[in-house]
Amino acid sequence: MPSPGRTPQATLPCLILLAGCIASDQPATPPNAIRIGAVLPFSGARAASGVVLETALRLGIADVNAAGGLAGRPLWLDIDDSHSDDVRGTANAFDLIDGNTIPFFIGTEEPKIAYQITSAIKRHGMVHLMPALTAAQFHDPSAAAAWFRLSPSVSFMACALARHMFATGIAKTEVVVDPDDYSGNFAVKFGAVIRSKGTTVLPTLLVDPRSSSYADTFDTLVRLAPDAVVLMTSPSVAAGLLQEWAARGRPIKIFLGPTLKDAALLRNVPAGILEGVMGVSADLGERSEEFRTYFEARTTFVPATGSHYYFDAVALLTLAVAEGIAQNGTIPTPALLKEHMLNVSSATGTVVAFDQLAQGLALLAAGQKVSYSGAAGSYVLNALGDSTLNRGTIWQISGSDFVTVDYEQCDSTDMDLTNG
Amino acid sequence: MRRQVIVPLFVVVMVGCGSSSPGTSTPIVPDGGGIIPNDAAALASPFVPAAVDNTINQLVAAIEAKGLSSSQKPPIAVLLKTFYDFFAPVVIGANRMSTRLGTPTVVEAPFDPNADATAPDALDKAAAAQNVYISSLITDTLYKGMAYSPYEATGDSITTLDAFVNSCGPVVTIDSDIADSKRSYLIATANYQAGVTAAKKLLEVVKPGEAVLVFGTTLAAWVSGIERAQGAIDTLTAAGVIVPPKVSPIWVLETDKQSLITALSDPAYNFTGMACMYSNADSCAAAVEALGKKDLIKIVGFDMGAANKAYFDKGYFYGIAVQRQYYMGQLGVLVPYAINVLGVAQTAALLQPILVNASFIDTGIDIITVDNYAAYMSYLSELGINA
Repeated sequence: MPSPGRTPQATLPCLILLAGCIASDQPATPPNAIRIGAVLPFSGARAASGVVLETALRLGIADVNAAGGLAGRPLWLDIDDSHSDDVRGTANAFDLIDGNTIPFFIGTEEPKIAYQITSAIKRHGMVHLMPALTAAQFHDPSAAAAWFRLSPSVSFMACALARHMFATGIAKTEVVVDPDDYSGNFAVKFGAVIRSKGTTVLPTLLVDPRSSSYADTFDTLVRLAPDAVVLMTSPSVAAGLLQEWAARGRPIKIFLGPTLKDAALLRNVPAGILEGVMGVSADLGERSEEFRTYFEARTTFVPATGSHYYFDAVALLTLAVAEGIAQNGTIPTPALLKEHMLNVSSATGTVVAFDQLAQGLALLAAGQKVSYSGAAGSYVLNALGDSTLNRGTIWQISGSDFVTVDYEQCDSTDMDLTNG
Repeated sequence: MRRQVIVPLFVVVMVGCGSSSPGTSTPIVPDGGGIIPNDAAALASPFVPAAVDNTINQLVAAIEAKGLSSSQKPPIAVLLKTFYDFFAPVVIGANRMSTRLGTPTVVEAPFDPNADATAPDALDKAAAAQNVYISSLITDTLYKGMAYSPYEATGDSITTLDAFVNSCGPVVTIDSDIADSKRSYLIATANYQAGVTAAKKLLEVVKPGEAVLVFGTTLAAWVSGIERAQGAIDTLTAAGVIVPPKVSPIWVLETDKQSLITALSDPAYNFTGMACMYSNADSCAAAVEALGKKDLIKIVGFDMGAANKAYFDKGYFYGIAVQRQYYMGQLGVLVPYAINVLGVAQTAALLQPILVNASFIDTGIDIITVDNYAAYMSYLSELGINA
C-alpha cells in the first residue's frame, strides 16, 4: 500500500508527462504547500479510472502551481489507493486525513468511503469536494466542514436515460447493477421515471464484480425477456459482461450508464462489438472538446467524463480559496469557503475558462470577481453545495468515439424536482 | 493487487410468483460464504439500535446457513408512498439489504406529475395508484414477497394486498399498516411506546402540577396516531402533570398554529410543555414563537423534517423523537425474504427480540436534543442517509 503522500507506481507516466507538475520522487512536501488529499481506485474493479482521474487532478494542480500557486504557496497532492473497496479505501482515507495536515479532500469514486470519512472531515475542519459521477449524496449541517457535489444528481441522469428509452418505444426494462449505492439509486430512480410513463420495470439484477462468467445473468435476462437492459457497473465489470453478450450474439438491447462513457471500456473489449450501443452521461457543456484537446496535449491520456469534474474541483477550489485570501489574507474557513465557492461559480464576474487559471488568480488578487467556466461547463451551486446543472447527454459508440446524439433535460413532468 | 471481496454472489434467477420450484440456471460461484457485517463503520455509534441490528444479523446468518444457490433467492418488491423525505432512508436501507442478500429487488412508488396533494380525494387516488402497481406485480409473476407502505387500509387496498399474498408470497407493511389483511408483519415505530418515551423526555423539564398541551389526533380511524398520543397522555398524567384535551391537527400550518395559540392562551392552565406527536410539530414551535414563550414552554416533537429542524436549530425544541426508517427499509426486504427461505416459524423466532406482538416489529425511536444532535448528524452522514 502506498504511504500517504506518495504516489502509487501506476501513476508515474502521467507525472512524467505533465509539465510543471510536482515530481513523484520529491522527498518531502514543500513546507509551505497547501495540501489536497485524494483516494482513487488504482486497483480492483474501478482501477481503469484511477490513473486518468489522478492525471486530471495533477493537471489542475500543475496549472495552479505554474501560475505561482495560491498566494505564493504551491498545491500538493497526497494520494492513495481505494482498491475499489469500501473497507480498504476508507482505511487509506483515514490514514491520509488523520496522519497529515490536509485542509482539502477530493473524491471518492466509491460513495460509501465518502460517507464513512465524514466525521474525520469534520474533526479536521476540512473541505471535501466530490467530483465523481458516482458521488455520494448527503448533506451534513455541520459548520465545521463543507462538502460540495460537482457532478449531476443521479436522479437526473437516470431520468434522462429513462426519457430517451421511453421515447424509443421500449416497453419492458431491466437494470443490471454493481453493488453500490450509486448504482442502486440509479436503478430505483430510472425505474420510477420509466414506470410512471407506462413501461414495465423488472427487478434489478446485481452482478458480482468477482465473476469471470455472467452466464446466469444472461440466462435470467433471456427468460425475463426485457426489451432493453441498462448496465450500471464499473467499466471492468461491464467489459466482461459485454464480451459475453457479444459472444452470445447480442441477444438483448443494452444501454450503458454514466460511468461507462469511458475509453477504458472500449480498450477492454474487442474492437467493434459495441458499435452503435447507446448510453447516458453528464452534459459536459460546450467546451468539453476543448478540454479534451488540452488534456490530451498535456498528458497524452484521453480524459474520461469524470476527468472534467476532477480538474474543475481543483480549479474551483483554487479560485474560491484565492478569493478568500484576497479578501481576508488567510485561507477561508469551511463555512466561508462555501460563500467563495458560490461566488466563483456564479454568473457575475469576469469569465475564467479552465485554461485561464493564471488570469483568474490575478484578477482575484486584484480584488475583482471571476466566474469559472470549467472543463465540464459552468457550475451553479445551491446553498447545500450541490451542482444544479443536470442535463444529460445521450451518446452512441462509433468506432473509438462516444458521439453525442441527443440531450435530455428532465422536468417536473418526469420526476419530483423538489427532491431530485 | 487483489481486491478484498466483501460481497457475496449476486447473479440470480427468478422463479414465478407463488412457485416453489427453482430456476434452471447454475450458480457461477459457490454460495454460503461469510456473513457480511451490517454497516460496520457506523457500529460504534450510540444510535445504532443494537436489538434491531443484532436481529438483522441473526436472520442473515440463518439465511446464509441455508446456502441458497442464486436461482433459489426469492425476488422481493418494495412499494412505498414516495422515494423522498421520510422514505429516502427506507430506499437506501432496502437497496443495501438487497445487495447484502444478493437478491433481485424492485423499489417503486407511484408518481403522478398532475397529482394535487391538497385535493380531497388525493389519498384515494394515491391508494388506487398503489393498487395498480401491486396488480402489475402479481401479473409479472416474478416476486415472492413484498414490503409495502400503504396509503389506505380499507377496501381495494385490503383486497389487492391479499391477492398478492395468495399469488406471490408474504407481505410486510412499513410505517403504515393494513391490519385487516393477510400481511405478515407491520414494521414501524411502536407508537404507544414512542409516546411514552417522548413524554418521559418532557418530564425532565415539566413538574407535577404544571400543564402540557398535547398536539395529537382525535381521528379514531388513525389508530397509530391515537396510540402515540395516548402513550404521552398516560405517562404525563401518571406523573402528576395536567393534560387538558388535546388539540387535533388538520395539517395546515397556519390553522393549526392558531388552534394551538388559542389553547395555550387558556388562563385556566399553566402550560410549561407541549407534546407534539407528529412530523408537523413545527406548528407547535410556530405557536410558541408567536406567543413569545420560547423559553417558557418546552416542546418535544416528532421527526426531524426540514421545518422541525429549522425550529430545532433556533432552540424551540427540547427534544425531537426520530424514527429509524433506514432499518424499516432493511427489514422490509429481509423479513419477507426470510419467510421464504426459513419459513414462518423460524423467522418469527428470530424476530422475537424486536416483536411488540405476534405481528408488530418495532424499529424504535431516538430522542435528539442539543446535547446529542451533532453525534446524530454524524451517524446519519456516516450511514449515508443524511439528506
